[in-house]
Amino acid sequence: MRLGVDAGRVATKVAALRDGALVVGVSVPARGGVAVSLRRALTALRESPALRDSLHLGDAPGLGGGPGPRGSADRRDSRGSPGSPGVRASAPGPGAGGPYGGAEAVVVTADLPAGELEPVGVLRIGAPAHAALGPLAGWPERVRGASRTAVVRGGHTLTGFPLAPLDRDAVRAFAAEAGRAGLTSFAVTAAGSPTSAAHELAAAALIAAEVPGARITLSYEFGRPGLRERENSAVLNAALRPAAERLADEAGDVLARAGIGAPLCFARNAGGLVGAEYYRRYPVVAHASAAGSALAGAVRLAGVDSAIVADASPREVRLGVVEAGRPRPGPGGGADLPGLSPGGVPLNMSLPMLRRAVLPAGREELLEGVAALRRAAPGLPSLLVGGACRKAGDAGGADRAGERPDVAAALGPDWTVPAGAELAGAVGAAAAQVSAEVERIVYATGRAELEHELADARDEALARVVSAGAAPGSARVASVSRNPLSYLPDGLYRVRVVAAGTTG
Amino acid sequence: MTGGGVEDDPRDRAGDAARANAVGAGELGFLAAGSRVFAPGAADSSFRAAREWARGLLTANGPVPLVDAGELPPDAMVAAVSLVGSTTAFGEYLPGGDEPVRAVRALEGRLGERIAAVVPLNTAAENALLPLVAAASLGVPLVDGDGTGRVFPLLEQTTFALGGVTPAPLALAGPLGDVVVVDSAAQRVEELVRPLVLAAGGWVVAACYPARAGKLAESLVPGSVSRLVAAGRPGAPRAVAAPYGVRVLCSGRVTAVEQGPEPGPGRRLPSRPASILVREHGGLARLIRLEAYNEILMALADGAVAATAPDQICLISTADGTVVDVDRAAAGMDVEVVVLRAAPAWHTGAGRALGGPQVFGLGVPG
Repeated sequence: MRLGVDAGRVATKVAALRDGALVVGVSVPARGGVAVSLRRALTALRESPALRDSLHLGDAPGLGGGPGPRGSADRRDSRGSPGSPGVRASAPGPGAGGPYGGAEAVVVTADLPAGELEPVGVLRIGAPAHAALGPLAGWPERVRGASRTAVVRGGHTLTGFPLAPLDRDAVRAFAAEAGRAGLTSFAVTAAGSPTSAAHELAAAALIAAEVPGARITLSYEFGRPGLRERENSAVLNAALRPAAERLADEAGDVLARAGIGAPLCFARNAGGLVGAEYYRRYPVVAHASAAGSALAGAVRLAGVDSAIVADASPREVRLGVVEAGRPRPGPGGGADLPGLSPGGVPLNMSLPMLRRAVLPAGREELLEGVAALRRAAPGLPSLLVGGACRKAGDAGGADRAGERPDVAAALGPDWTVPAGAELAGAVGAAAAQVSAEVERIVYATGRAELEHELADARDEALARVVSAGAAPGSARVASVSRNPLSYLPDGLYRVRVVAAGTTG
Repeated sequence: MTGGGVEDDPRDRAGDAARANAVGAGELGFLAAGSRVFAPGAADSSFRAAREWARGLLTANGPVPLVDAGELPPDAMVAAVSLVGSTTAFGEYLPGGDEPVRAVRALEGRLGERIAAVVPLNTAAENALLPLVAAASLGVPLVDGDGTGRVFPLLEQTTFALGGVTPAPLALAGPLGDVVVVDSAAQRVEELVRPLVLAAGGWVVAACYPARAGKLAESLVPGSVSRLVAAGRPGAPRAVAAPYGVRVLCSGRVTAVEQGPEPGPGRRLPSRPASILVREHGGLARLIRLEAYNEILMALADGAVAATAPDQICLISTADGTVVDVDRAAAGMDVEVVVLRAAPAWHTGAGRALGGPQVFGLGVPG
């Protein structure tokens, strides 16, 4: 069994999946932070008759009388394996009492509050840029205010040659000053680090020596060319780390007290998941992951692998496309993903393409978005999910249902609301698998050299997916792409490797 | 935009949009949007950086006056300004901010006189914004026009060249502090400049094609900047950015992208060839083959030539209406193949000789 947790601003939902199908889910109002809501949701789930039935009777047809309002059971037949014989055996596991003893993983999708962003020591290595393009340009004052920035000499060309020697004295001086200002989170970005990270690594060693206990994020870990976006991603990661550590600690504690020994994981915002240890170091990959989880959960609930999805929260409706189980990526930048980018600064992650509308005022926008997605992805079914997907009267729910616009009516006919639709985010989180990616620029003047570089990138992606929580035996390369760069010499390629694995 | 026919001719509406006579921070957003209506080759990072740079300057220095070439004194010296090199490099090695001024001052030193105005070499994406940045930095007006009406890979492929203006002397300034002045015959410029650009960090600002305003007025594609400002306004039809006509060749799905062979030593082009195959949705379900060399140069429909350079051929994503970079085209994308008619200067014997497909080593079958 896998548990998915969708810790939204209005409600916290937990879904239990067995063999990829929803067994039971609950929703409780979000109050008192993610960990507190998680504890209450787990308690509610444990007390749900459906879970008990499922665990102790082990027979899918016994699940509390079919689909009902949120707070009781929503079920789908698990395709091909009703009444799994493994259920009884998976109930109370060794050393972990209670009904969750057999859980394989608990996957959380949560937004860290923007108010918890820590100030960051931002070090850029390269030539000084125009003021409009400097470190933290465009960031909100609440982050800029207490942060420190510096630009020091160094960096590499795209073909891997040093632009200048790293100015080690300047790095030390910056680290010492930031340390005196009380900063412990650092983000280091060197020009050319998608090709060579040597100066970022050297600067990290210098900072660590000056500021004991410093948490240092290096931009090459988000290794796409485009310095500002890479730097902003590194800064956001650094700013999120303290809050992410607290969340991982608290959620881990809640699970331990609930007798759940399964690994704690976090859904990635671009699909997939990472383990808690990885999340503590790279929280930005899991930040604002609710939108992608809901898209992935919708197709799973409907038993299809591709669809146009409307995810209706009480605040807004988000539209996206899922193809072969994965959200279609957007143009990049992250500004279109709500809650991800502070002040709308550009980031460099592959995030789901989303269109958003706030009802009732945004009905035209909503319909225009639907038309655009249907043009872009013709012939796909249309699914409506999310906490506000049912009409106010239909849902005996935890949300303030009376104020809710009628999303289904606004969308018109041809939309399917799958059973368990309110839990789509939790279902998508629960169903995710471990994934990690490596992106870099390689300079290879011959075929053998290119093959060597590709093999190296594959190895790093596999190592990274294991460090993200995959069982070593399960780690595999999911995709490799390489594209030559225009208007640059032959032999320069952008290489991207995605690796995947399972937690078990 | 629906498939098949030629869109409304925006020249019919030319009088509708009040012509901008300055570009300030307010118009910048429209110009930026308009510059991407038909522009390939715009990596997001570099485009954002160029836009933020321009926004910073326009906010600090105020709007840049926009003038017709004919409004300047006929003997005023004007230089074209362009980004040369890789947009990926531009997004990675960010401008220090003084590149346009360093390039123009070096050119002025070579010429022995001051530049009175700046003109865009082309107005695709970053190249619509950098001349504006240059004009704002120098405190001179921006000429409302450009030297191609589209974008070509080679520096010498301009209507300025067709009008008898030479690219050199030209000056390059890169993000690492380098300044280089090149003075050579037109057909030598490309070969000299490309390795310099790489050594300078992968991109430079070039100040080139110095010319008297009177001469320039005869050879530029007029009105490009104000047209893009109009085309970038919310709700403006896409065709506003295509003054000489635009048609949809087909709507379909990319079925394959084939990388061509490594270029031989005799190649003058900055990168490798690629072929993109598009299967038409519905209709005749034709197979459209696009031959690309950084830009798409020829479209074959079931083997017959359907469009060639100097007309501009671009792929527009059905998903979001943005132009698909040749580099990023991938099997499975739904696209429209769109053809923009080139400016009249390109549809002359000399124009086709400079901008036609044979320049890129593509023969025209049949």
